[in-house]
Amino acid sequence: MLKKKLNRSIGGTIALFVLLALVGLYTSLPLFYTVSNAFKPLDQLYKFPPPLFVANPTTDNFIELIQLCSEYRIPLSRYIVNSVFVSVVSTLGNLALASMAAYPLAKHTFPGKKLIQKMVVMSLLFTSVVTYIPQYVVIAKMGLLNTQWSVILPMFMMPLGLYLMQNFIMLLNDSMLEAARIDGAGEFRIYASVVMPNCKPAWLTLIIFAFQQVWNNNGNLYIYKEAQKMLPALLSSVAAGSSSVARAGVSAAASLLILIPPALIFLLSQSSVVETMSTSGMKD
Amino acid sequence: MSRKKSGVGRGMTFAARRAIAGRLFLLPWIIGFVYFFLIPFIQGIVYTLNKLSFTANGVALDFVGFANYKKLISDLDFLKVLANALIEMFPRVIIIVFFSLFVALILRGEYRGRTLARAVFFLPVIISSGVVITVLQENVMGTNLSGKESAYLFQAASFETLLSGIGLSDQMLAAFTDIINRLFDLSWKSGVQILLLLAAVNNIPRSHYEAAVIEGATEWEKFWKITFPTVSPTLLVTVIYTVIDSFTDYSNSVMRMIEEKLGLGYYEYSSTMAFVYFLCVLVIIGVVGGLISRKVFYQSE
Repeated sequence: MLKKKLNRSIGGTIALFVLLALVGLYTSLPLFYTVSNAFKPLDQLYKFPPPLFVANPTTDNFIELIQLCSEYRIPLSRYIVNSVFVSVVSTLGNLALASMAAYPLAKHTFPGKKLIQKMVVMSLLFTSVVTYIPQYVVIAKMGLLNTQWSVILPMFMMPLGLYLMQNFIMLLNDSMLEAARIDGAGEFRIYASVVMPNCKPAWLTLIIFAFQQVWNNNGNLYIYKEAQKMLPALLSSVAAGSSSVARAGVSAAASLLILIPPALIFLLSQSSVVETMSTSGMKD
Repeated sequence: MSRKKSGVGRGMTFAARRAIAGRLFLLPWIIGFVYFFLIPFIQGIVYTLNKLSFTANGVALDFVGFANYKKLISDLDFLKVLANALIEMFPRVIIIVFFSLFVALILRGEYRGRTLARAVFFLPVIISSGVVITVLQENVMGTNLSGKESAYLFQAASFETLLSGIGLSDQMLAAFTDIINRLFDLSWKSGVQILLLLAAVNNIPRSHYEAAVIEGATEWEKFWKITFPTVSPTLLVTVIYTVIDSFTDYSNSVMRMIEEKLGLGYYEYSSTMAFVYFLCVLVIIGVVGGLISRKVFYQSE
């Protein structure tokens, strides 16, 4: 269904798309630079204004990156494994905890519900600036310092996920849940086979947010052992090396590589969003 | 309805069993919430009433009452920055939310290349929130910006040279770059909102539109009678998210001030600032949320 086919002229549609395409092009400029910089030879990286396109693309930056990483005490694969482990566990944990908590918050009535809902919004808005030191103390007391769980466990309760899920589950039709209940489904069954399939767009979006957030977390705050660190930490140490001029190419290549996983997650989940939606209609 | 947690399962009403199931569902999240948010948060408030000193055994507290708050009230710089931030936020939130809704409506539905079209608007979020942006700043600008001006990175520089090449006057140039800067800033800050609204817009059952078309509804009526009411709950979410996002953004002048004080080691004072700031935002969210949620339409009711 291409919307607005009744009274919008073809010219208007084209104008809209052109406008949007221009805005889109403009916003994707940094992305474009990230990609093109990775293939630029060093002399072009320092031209001003920066050239958009690469005159003679080279893969030297990537080769240099691999060489540089092989000189490091910790192998590159270690950072990758750490990053993937932390990101996947955090994302899945957040998804499970947030969606399970969101279901009763959205569809049940019980004392204290309003209070919890308010606290979710409150924590959503709270920045780490104030809780900086106390949070460090809590993590240290739990014995999580220098482990990846110091990054993973707080991610489990990332409030944005819960808020998102709660608001989408609220939109679900109650009669659907009633029908399942009459058929004898328990609460967990309802959650797993009625609620979750019907808000797939919401949790696919949640996966994007959570993964993106944790993937960019370098864990510097709580993790000091190099072997426990994640990819962004490696990238910043590559980029901030002693001779940063010589390493500009390398860090450009590393930036591109580090962008690929969240971009892939985004593309995968977004391309499966639309197909599922048409099934959610109810006949009242 | 019995709400007491008595035996397990048997002899209980249906509603009571449901209430227990609901609480069990909530429990893991609540535990995490208490440990990683509530305890640090309360501790943070306690810090604002004390003078902190860092010793070998950790943090030592020295109770000073409301001294930090008194200092804050007489801090004219802070009050000015705070007032400006609060005023600037309103037009910003409105524009971002409407821009996002507009983009979401255009990007909705099934067509070829839809994922790419969406990616264009969301990928800036992925780039700007990580270490990649600092690398990019160094490479593209050849300078090391502080990392807080991420949004101002690509703005004028290349366009200014381009436009002055065409032969625009300085005034026109300034006006142009200002618009471009704002546009850039807004579109970079709209990624999450667009995605949220897209999910909502795509969730509207097609049958509603079909019924409307059969009844002879125009596009205008379809928007106001179907699309807008159905996405209104998500619009509320988007508004609140945008308010929060613009308040907690590190390019925000109040946040910068708080960070600056933190960096100078005035921990308890920066906590006080952040706490007061937080209360202001909370009031705004309460008022805005309260006003909007009156108009919000929930299908299940």
